[in-house]
Amino acid sequence: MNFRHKIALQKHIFCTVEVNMSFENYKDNIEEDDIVILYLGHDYMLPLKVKKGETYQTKFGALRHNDLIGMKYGSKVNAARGWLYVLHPTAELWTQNLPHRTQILYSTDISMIVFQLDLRPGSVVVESGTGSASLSHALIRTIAPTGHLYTFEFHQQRAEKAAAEFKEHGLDRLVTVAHRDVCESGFDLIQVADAVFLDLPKPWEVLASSKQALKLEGGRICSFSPCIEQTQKTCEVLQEQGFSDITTMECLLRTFDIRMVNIPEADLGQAECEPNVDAGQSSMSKNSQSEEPMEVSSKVAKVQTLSKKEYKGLSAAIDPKRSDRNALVKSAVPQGQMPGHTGFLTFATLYPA
Amino acid sequence: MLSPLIEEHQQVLLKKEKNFKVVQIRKKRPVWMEKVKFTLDGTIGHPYGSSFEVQDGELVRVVSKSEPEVLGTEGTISKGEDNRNLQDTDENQKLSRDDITAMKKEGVSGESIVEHLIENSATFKTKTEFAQQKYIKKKKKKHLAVFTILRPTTRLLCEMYFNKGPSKICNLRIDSLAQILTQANVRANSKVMIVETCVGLIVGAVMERLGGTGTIVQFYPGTAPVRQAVEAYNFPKTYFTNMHSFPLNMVNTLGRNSETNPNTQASNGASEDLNTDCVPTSEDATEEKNLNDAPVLEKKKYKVFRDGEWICPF
Repeated sequence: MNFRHKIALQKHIFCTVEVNMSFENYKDNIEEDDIVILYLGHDYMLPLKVKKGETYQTKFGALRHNDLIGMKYGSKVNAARGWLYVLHPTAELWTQNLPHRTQILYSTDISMIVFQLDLRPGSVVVESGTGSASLSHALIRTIAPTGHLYTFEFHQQRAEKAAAEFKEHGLDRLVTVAHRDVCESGFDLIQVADAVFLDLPKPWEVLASSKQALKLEGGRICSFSPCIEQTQKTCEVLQEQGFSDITTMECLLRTFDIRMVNIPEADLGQAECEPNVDAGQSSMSKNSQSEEPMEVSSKVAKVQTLSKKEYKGLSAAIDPKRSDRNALVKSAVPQGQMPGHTGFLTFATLYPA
Repeated sequence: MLSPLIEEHQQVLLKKEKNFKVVQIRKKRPVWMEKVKFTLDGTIGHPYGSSFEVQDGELVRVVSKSEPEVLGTEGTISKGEDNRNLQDTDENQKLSRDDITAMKKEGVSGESIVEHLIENSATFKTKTEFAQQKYIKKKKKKHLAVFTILRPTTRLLCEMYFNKGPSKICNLRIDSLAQILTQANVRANSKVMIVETCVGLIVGAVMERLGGTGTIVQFYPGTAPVRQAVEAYNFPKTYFTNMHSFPLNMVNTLGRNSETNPNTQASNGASEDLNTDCVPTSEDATEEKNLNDAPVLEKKKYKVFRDGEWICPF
């Protein structure tokens, strides 16, 4: 049985009945057939479909599905060798954890796309290609409960898998999946969409059809392309088709760790007229003057990034004679590995004729 | 839902090139933009996104020709290869400033003024294609005053504030705002708590994503929430029925022990207060802030500046 939320937008009342799993709205308690997100630690999450009687082996121990049923979403669950959280799925969590059938878009790009397409509840969006439905889930989340997504995929199994997923996630009334090669046959939609999104090898081939799909009062369009040559060609054709405000951008995510960083003061040797402050300093400077620069630098503490544990023992580690020549600074330290280039996002507006 | 046509009393975005300004459509009320004064009457009834030119202080609809924004489009005028022989002097342009002013007075359109300038330029033909585009763009910007009326959206408002007054919005760039809205999973029927000093831009952005559903609770510093940006969105009254505000400097009083359980008191009070974020002020309002009393969601005066005075829109 499939119950639905009733939403009377004018009165802002909606009555909840016990519902099946839906990505659309939060639910309090876990039930069988729900998709939950297991959170085992930083950068370590897994999706799980709850089924009576089943057991899932995590690195912390066995997790019995029966234990989850009836539990509140967000609960901390203890296992044999640790604990984990059980989370309600959201579009962002799904993007992090969905099974990849193609390369997907991540939340950084998705955020900008949703923002630049002016999406809101009630918006109608056309998307091609569906791929693994990462962006699709985010689009549906934003346009619900009154909007609609028309999504096109030319690979049959992927189209079918996406449709099945939307149904499983309680979103099927908000989306229409079409198995179609839009470059060949177009969208076959006339003046219904507020926004069009394209993630295709040759997006310029569907711009005419995109223009036709957009509402008479105009709308927004976005094209995502990894290569600048694709982007250039897309911009040319957007221009020809009469789109305005053509803009291309790229979203790069910069990741940082917060660390206490030990920054030593440079030892410039003994200043001419200054008296030595303490014996320790003077012995240091005498040594540095007589030695090669290479060896001097080895005597000066190297910049260290300290982990929390190291910091705790820091006071012991600092040479008391040189403690006034160090600064301990809370810093944002760039991570060694950061997400790289995904693609160029080109946006444009279609104004009414 | 949203009317596609410009109507009177709507807040709109007036745009010229990259310059945006929020104005209200009021008949016979002139507005200023980039040293040009005009009324907005001529926009009423036209769709959002239409372009207009100023003619005799009034806006008249024009069909905007797409600028050659993308280089590589073909040109029919001959072009040069580089500027090695270019002499940059004032004599290159045969038309004087007086000539142009005279043409404008005669009512010559901006387009043809630019064409005249090109014809009378001695060096235009020797410029490279890119330089020619740049020249045309510069002349058009000066002589072709095209104004567009746009529907205010978070995207445009954030850009406007970021370009013209970033300190008003804590220097919030559009990509940051985009990330915030997504990572916080702001969507229809969600409950959102907001603390911001961005003249209401975040509140407006959240309201846009909620679509009139859900609930907003805004904790504000000072005496009243600043919601200047929310004005620009033209949200219908229904969007405000589930909006509540609470002074930040009373947060520590929440959950304090008092005769009645403050939490239930607050929620009971809330159900009464649900329908309005705006009440007539009374002297009692300040006395209610007795810290021993259970705090209720405080009713605050929410006013907008219209017709030269501050009024409560409800």
